Amino acid sequence: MKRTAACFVWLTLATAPAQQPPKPSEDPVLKQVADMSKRCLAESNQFREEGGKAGDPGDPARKWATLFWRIREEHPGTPAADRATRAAFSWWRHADQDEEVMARAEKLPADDPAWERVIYILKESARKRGAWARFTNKAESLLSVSKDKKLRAAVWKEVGSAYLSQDKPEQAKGAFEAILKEAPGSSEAEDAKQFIHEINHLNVGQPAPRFQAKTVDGAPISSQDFRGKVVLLSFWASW
Amino acid sequence: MVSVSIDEDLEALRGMVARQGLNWPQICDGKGAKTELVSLFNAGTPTYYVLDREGRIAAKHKGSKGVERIDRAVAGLLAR
Repeated sequence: MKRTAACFVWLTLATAPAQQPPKPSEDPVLKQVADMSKRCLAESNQFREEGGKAGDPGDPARKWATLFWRIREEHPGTPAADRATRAAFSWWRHADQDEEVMARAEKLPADDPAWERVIYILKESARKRGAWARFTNKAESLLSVSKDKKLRAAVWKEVGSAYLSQDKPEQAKGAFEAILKEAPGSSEAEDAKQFIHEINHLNVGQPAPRFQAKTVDGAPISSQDFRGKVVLLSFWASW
Repeated sequence: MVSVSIDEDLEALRGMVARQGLNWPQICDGKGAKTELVSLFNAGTPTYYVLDREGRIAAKHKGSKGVERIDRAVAGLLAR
């Protein structure tokens, strides 16, 4: 569930397979969750535009997270509960409520479908706090009980990402290689190959990849053109 | 300074580059996230790589926070 612009966007080469949840119009609670998400997003954007910061007690995201959690409790085991659970965690993280994220994650059963998303949020909370133990324990516990390939790939990816954040590239590689072994050919495996490529070849001190490309005006440009020059290569999007 | 854009609309990008007076090379082939350079550098947006005069990676950074270290890396290399 996407919200306000993140300060960094990964560009996965393989598009993730689209999920096919029940259409909101056929499930009134799901529609309710969708409406709540729209309102939450609008209020949150306004709060930030007016100078509100993550962590401020008046952040509407906190209120909304609690409301989403209530949907989960009132309609357990439904697609709406799944969406609401993911939303609750996302908005707690957005409001810097990382203790809330970690405490709720402790209690989230291993077979809850929301883990596919929540494991990412738990990792982000751990990263913000610099406190990895609860994330690591939860990831290990999920991997030891779950046979769901999608979930396992999602968990391994966050384990890898966590290791990278902790400057442990060799362990990160192990996690990404587990994805290649368990889910070859998947979109997660494509992402994993990219990470392994980066760990092996894109370190400070290593020669930058050579490239040949064209500018937006059609002129050829190559890495050889910059020998002897200091280069700042910046990847961006105009939107 | 070399930019790599993942925009898919080349016309729109050209317009923006002209309006903003960006006078350094703008690499863009309209392939968006499938741009070869994106995969070569495992880039997201924004992502920065600083290369020294010998073509080695001197610094790298992902995300829009903390970009000052990239400025410092460039300044350090230019001073040599």
